[in-house]
Amino acid sequence: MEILKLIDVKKYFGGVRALENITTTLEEGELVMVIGPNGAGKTTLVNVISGYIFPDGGRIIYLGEEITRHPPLKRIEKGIVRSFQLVNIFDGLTVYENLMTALFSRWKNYSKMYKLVDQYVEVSNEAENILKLFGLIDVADKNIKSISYGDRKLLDVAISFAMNPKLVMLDEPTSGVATKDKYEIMEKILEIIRKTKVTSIIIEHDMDIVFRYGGRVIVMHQGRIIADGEAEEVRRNEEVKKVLLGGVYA
Amino acid sequence: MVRMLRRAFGDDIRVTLLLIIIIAIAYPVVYVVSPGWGVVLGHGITWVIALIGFNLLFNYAGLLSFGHALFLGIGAYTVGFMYKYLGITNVELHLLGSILSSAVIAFIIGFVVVKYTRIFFAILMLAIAQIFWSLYYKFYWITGGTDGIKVPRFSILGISLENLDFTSYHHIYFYLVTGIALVLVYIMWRIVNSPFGLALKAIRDNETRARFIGINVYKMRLYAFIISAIYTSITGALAANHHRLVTPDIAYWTTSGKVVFAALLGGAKVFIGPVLGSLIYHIIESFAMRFIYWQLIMGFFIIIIIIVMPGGFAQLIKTSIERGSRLIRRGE
Repeated sequence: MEILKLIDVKKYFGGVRALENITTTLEEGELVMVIGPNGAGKTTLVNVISGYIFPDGGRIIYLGEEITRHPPLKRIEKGIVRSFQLVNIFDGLTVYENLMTALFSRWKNYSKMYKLVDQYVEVSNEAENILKLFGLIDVADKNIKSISYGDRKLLDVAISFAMNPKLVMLDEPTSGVATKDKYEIMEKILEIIRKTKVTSIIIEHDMDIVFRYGGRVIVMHQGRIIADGEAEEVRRNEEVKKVLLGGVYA
Repeated sequence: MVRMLRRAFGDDIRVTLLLIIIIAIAYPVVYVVSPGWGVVLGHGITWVIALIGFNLLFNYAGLLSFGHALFLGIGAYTVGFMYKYLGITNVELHLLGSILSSAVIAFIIGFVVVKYTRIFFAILMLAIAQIFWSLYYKFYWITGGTDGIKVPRFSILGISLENLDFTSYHHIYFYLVTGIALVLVYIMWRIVNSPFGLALKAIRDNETRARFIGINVYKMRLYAFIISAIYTSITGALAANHHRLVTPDIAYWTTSGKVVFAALLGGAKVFIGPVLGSLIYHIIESFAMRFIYWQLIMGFFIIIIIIVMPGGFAQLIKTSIERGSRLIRRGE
């Protein structure tokens, strides 16, 4: 079943064409990696789908409904969740509290005042399960500032998954992480995506990572999709080679 | 399994309640030794309520208000008007009136101001508080201007205290305020440790992400603003009954400054901070007031706090406890 359909989506920043006639579809349960050089429009694509910014033209259809102009909150309620390129979590809270915040939001009781956080046993149990899934249970009570950058990245993704998404978009989940830890984090994320069967869009900068795991790959360049298909087939595409391996992306 | 979060000193409600209870027990002795200090303790406890209300916005929601005198004024003038125009001396009705009037006004003002954060919020609050102050000041045929509104002794549960001797009247005031403070401090502790409190902290730390996990940032801030206003106005209403005179001074910007100062003095980062801050502030103030240049002494204290102990007294005590326990462990 089709979960997301983009039809001729456009976005301009002044004279810069960040997105130009983007048309593509995503099937439910599908995992797509989006790759492209800096300024290709990858993050803009996530911004437009999540409602962070509105497109200048075109339509976005999600589960058969047009959501082009829906505010972010409405999209989140419908299950469209994203993470950000830079770690974007709650620095003053513990790992556990970070996750609880997201879960309370999803359970729609984040504005409840009388019961204490710890008294929500069901929510607490779910938080523990997610922390276990992401291998963060040992640092659950630690403050964000005292955990590794890699763990922060994982927590960022865990918060997105706590929202019980139907469509999750991860914007460079391994950026800023030391190369040796990158694969570990990516494998963990991919394992969770496979386990939970959530439709996912992963933006990635690193070619090695994208082509290492296979699956569907979309290559973007200057706001356009220049290739879309199986990793192997995309890798052999001449234009892709030029863009990703040529001067722009040495 | 219910995860028990480790609560360090300052965020444990038992310590805060114990502190207030110890003061309540010590109060009669203090009063016998020196009635003046008894009155100071009464002030201290009265202001605890406003300060924990202020700190809900400052520490938990990350909004620094430089205009909390606005709500102190609303509480005090509600009492003033209730007596002047309706002849009501009943303290329960005074509190109810203040809660309602502050909630309504906070809703209307909050509607606009919580859209702003940081310096914009601080200055906007200062400006609005000054507008209210000028209304109290200028509309003297309603408010009595600088002469203010005289309020008689309050009655409680329908019993008039008009003919009681001064000491007994003061004791009743003290224990009334302490009782109210205990309940309100406990409620506030539950609020900051509830999902709502967690959402506020999340918004404070990262507004964008909070939005993107579906938290209605505006609504949460508005709720916090209204709760903070109600708490502060309760102090205003109680102070009006304590001083038995309502003047524009309580709504002036220096009163807002006092709120910020006392919170920093106690340490805004932990729950107990403002409670300590209120008590210590009033103790220092009554010492300093014996000198002509008492503002100079208070100013000196602000500088010391900001430079030497930015975490306030709460942080100082916390660090001392940690150091002490480390020394004991080493000694073993």
